[in-house]
Amino acid sequence: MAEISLNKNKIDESTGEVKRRGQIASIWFRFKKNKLALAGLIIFVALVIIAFISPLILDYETDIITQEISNRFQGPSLEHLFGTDQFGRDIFKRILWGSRTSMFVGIGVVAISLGGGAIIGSISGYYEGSVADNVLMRLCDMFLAIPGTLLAIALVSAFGNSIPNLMLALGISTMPKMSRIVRSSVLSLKNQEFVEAAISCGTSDARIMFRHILPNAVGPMIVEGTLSVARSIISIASMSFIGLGIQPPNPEWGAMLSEAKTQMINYPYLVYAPGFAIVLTVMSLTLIGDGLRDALDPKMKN
Amino acid sequence: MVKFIIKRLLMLIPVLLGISFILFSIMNLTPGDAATLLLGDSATPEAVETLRQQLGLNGGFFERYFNYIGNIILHGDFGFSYRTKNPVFDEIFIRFSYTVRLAFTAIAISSILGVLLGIVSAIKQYSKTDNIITAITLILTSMPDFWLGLMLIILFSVKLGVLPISGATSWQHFILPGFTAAANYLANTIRMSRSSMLEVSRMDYIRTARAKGVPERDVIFKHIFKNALMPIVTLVGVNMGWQLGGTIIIEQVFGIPGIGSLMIQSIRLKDVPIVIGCVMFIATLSSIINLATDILYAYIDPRLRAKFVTTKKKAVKSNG
Repeated sequence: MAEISLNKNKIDESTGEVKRRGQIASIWFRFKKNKLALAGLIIFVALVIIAFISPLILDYETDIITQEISNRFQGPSLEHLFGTDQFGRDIFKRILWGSRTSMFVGIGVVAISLGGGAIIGSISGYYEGSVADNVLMRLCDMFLAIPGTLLAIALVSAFGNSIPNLMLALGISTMPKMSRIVRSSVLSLKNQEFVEAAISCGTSDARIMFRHILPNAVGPMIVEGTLSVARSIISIASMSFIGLGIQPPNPEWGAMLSEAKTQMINYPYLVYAPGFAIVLTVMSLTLIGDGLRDALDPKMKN
Repeated sequence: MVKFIIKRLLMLIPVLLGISFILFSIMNLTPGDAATLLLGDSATPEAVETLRQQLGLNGGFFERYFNYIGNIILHGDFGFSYRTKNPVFDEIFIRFSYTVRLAFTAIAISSILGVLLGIVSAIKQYSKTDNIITAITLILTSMPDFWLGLMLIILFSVKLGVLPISGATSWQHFILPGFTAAANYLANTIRMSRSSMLEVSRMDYIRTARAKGVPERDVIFKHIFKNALMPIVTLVGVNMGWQLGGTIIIEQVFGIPGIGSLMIQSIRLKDVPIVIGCVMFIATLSSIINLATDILYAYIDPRLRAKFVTTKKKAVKSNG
């Protein structure tokens, strides 16, 4: 995939600017022409900065989880931007802190599913039609036939309720899809000349798979990974919402919504802010993912 | 055709066996004991032991698994719920009627609205309307469905007071959950209809139709839409399969006692036969729906029907 787009870049450049660009620079050149994707990137960078600086300006013990019953259900005001919840905690501060949990766990989930998917997909694609390929792909079919949410719920209740277990459960339940994607890129790459060259040099299968083929399949993996972080953030929130994910008082957005749900009829403002935070984060990642897809593979754009 | 259908159905068997084994293993790892969970902490050890005997919980992992699977294969017996002692499928069918109502409401909303918006968006490509519709799809995909559900409850049940908050006793109860469940699929359907319409509208035969003076409305609905229908039908079929198993969270938000609620409840109580029964049921159903979608193609697209018949003849020739 990357090989093809490399050639394409040169043609693009000859029509546009004469200067030669490296591969990453030309991807960036196409990415930043997409205004929506750029907006997504700016929002995402801002969110990452918030996630990093919130522990510097806020204290988990006093600002985030300390309950102040005298302060409960204060509507949105200048002092409390999004108001306070039923325990008198400032919702704005909790949302800022919550970005840490969502991003950290979301990226963790994708790291697990991408790592597993890369190994399964490479083996299965490289040894296409072999016993290993058949076994792995039929296993993927089986896992794909189980509704994803249900599989994650069952795995969390089997492993026990904790953040690493949640990551593992969501990682496993998204792994089959990732394996399929990696497998199809490996299939399209393994008959190319550079692989033949590597084989003729006597390179080992493992080295061909992970050093020659996989780096060339990295484009679709990055795109799928970005979109997958977005979906994972929604899954994490959903799991926390039904009480099987991140537990209160940790200010994960879904957990905040789960707490807010009981009070929502009288105090609907409790529900607004955490949801908007999720929408904003997920939307920025979706825009980046879509933008990257177009930038990596200009042919795909209609 | 019959051979094709039978082959597809036979392929389901190993998948179902695999699912049952995967879920049986996962549920086996879950801490806690079904008998204790059912009787509560105050139960005497004797009572727990008696119940364990009754439920067949004693014995090794493989012994229990093969007992379970053996009963299914030899007697068609999927066991009974540990909780209610009713046969698994009785439990499933009671709950399933709610899920079906929810799924059909959602599919109807997302298909009709999705195709309409997709067509408008494609006809007026790059216009303001197109941009607004694209923005709506982006927001819909970025929204967690349970949050959309909460927002709809606040607007229609709390502020306007026109629709019930939760429950499943009348058709009004299914409007909000239906819209909530439709949201994600709506975005997909809009996108798919739009791109499919645009793709077909670039074909030569569309230009021919316009050139010979066919009215624009007929070009859009008789020429473009009819040919753009294939991918849309696939998507609706796939959505339907997902919808039947994928409304777990929405059922929780709106308090609908559907199959999703049953599964969550059963996972918590370690009611293994129900969990596996539900998933097998959903998996079978969605693959039957996918199969039906594939068969439906042939009826929608005469080109495909022709291809199917010729390949079959070729296959017969090469075999003979």
